[in-house]
Amino acid sequence: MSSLKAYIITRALLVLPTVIILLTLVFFILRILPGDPIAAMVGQKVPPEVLEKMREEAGLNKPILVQYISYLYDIFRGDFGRSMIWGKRPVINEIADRFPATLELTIFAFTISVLLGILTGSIAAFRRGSKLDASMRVYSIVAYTLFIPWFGMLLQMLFGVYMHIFPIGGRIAPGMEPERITGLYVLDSILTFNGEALSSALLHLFLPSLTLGVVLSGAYTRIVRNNLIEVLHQDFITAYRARGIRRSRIAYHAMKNAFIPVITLMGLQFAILLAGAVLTETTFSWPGMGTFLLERIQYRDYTSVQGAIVFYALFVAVISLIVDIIYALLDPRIRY
Amino acid sequence: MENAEVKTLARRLFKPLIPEAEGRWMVISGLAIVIFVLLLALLAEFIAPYNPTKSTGDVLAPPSLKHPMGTDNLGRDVLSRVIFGSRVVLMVVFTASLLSMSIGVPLGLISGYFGGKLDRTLSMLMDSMYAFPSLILAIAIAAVLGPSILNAMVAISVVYVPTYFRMIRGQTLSIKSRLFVEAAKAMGAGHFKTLSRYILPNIVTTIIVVFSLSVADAILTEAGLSFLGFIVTAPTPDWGYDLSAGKPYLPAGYWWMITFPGMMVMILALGFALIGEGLSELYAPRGER
Repeated sequence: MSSLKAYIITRALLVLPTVIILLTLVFFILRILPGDPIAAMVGQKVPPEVLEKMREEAGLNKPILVQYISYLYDIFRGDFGRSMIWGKRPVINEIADRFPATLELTIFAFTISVLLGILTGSIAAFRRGSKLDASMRVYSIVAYTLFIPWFGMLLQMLFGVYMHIFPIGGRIAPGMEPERITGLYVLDSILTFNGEALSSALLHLFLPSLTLGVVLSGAYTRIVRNNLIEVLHQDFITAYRARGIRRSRIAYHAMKNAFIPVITLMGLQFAILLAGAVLTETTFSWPGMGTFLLERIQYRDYTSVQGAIVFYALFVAVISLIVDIIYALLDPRIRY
Repeated sequence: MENAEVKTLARRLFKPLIPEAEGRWMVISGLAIVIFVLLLALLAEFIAPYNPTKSTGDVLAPPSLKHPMGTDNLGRDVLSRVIFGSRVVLMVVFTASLLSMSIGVPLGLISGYFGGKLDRTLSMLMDSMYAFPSLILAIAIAAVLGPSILNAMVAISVVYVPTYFRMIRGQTLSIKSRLFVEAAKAMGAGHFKTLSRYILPNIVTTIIVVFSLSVADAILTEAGLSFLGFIVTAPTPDWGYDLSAGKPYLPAGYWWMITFPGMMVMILALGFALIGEGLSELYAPRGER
């Protein structure tokens, strides 16, 4: 167990440089690239004294090194600055309002993609070389190339506009929001025994998470297929067969062994999941981080844009840490 | 290069076209799709039945013989817009991909070949960029630079540099320890000669595969940026942008405004993905398929 602990501690410490590189990258993209982000975002029509005031508000009038240090210092204190529009709320509060929606969407989409991938991938592997195998292969490529807004709108058209089964936008029917505990509507409505809110939240979740889930499932189809084929050729499977063990039981053991590389893919897919969520949220008017970022770009709310991107960077770093720890727990070879 | 070397390289590059090669159909169908779209873009003026930016007088007309893909809310012919729309996406994606390739490949070669501190620093930077969601990175860059075709090219090219870097660096690492490279060095080949004459020819196939696959991905990124309004403004036709223009008309059932532009995004991305997938299978040594 001590080697596991040591591994986790080392891995956690390695997050720090990654986070700092990402934050530095964000800092430079938002500041150095065009010279003046405020001018670029606000446009040319604003009088210079207003521009100067906005630069001051965003702390952009100080020397670049001072800006950089106070930027890092503030982020590590959890201070993302204040929004530059409307109530000028702290950006971190705005993010706290929007993030649960993205988390809920990504959890459901992720689950759908893994389940679909395991299903299609194992069908292909157990029927290797058949027409079914070939069609699963086509599925994995086509799913990957589906353009999210297009696929989402086709689903909206079919299930929303023509069949009236699912709503085509929003997180929940207006006024039905459950009492806020975690901000995840599904979880909150279960915790408060609110059946109506639960069914409305699930109905609203279905199409967006299906859209994102299908698009991401292609990569899992392939990796599950290839790993399963490899495992099915190993000696212990032949030994099981020779001993006359039931096919379903063999399939279970094969799947268990084929699953470890799938976890690595989950970590890699996470960035794609977040990028896809931006398009899914826009398509389904989902009030999450993606729509927050785009909305604030439109309102030229510089501090919020920076805060949202920084938050994405931190989120990516934390998830990659979690995936590596899960990986180490499952596969003892990693720890050494 | 010697004559024999050229022949070996040529044989390896064109192996996908040998009739008995496995997975050949993927490369061929992918190529057919890409050539089809390229022709659409080149011959748009001659193929398109109407002016893509002018009203035909029929507003929101459903698909018919006169308008095979219907007309949009401003009465413009959707088919003509789809044909002309191939231009922006091809131009942006090709330019951006060539840019990221010409930055990513040399950096990957140098980093993998020389190793050391430079390699560690570059790898860390590229890995961090690679871990960040590509579309969000592109959005950040495009937002700061402002919406335009040129800026979209810059944003997309930055996003794909790490993809080339990682693949080429990995390949260079594994090839540089091979016996023939050692031999070349022992016989007095300098760094430049070793890299250009002994390592580069052995990663050409990787570059081609990575190019096809990352172009497929870049098409989706371009369409995404365009859909979000970061590339073109009205009335320029572009598939992603046209899709977002059709979105408000979806609840009323005007399906043709969104169906065709979005379908083209998928078809073009599929074309490059098929080429990339097929080639990576064909170029792989026998045991690794």
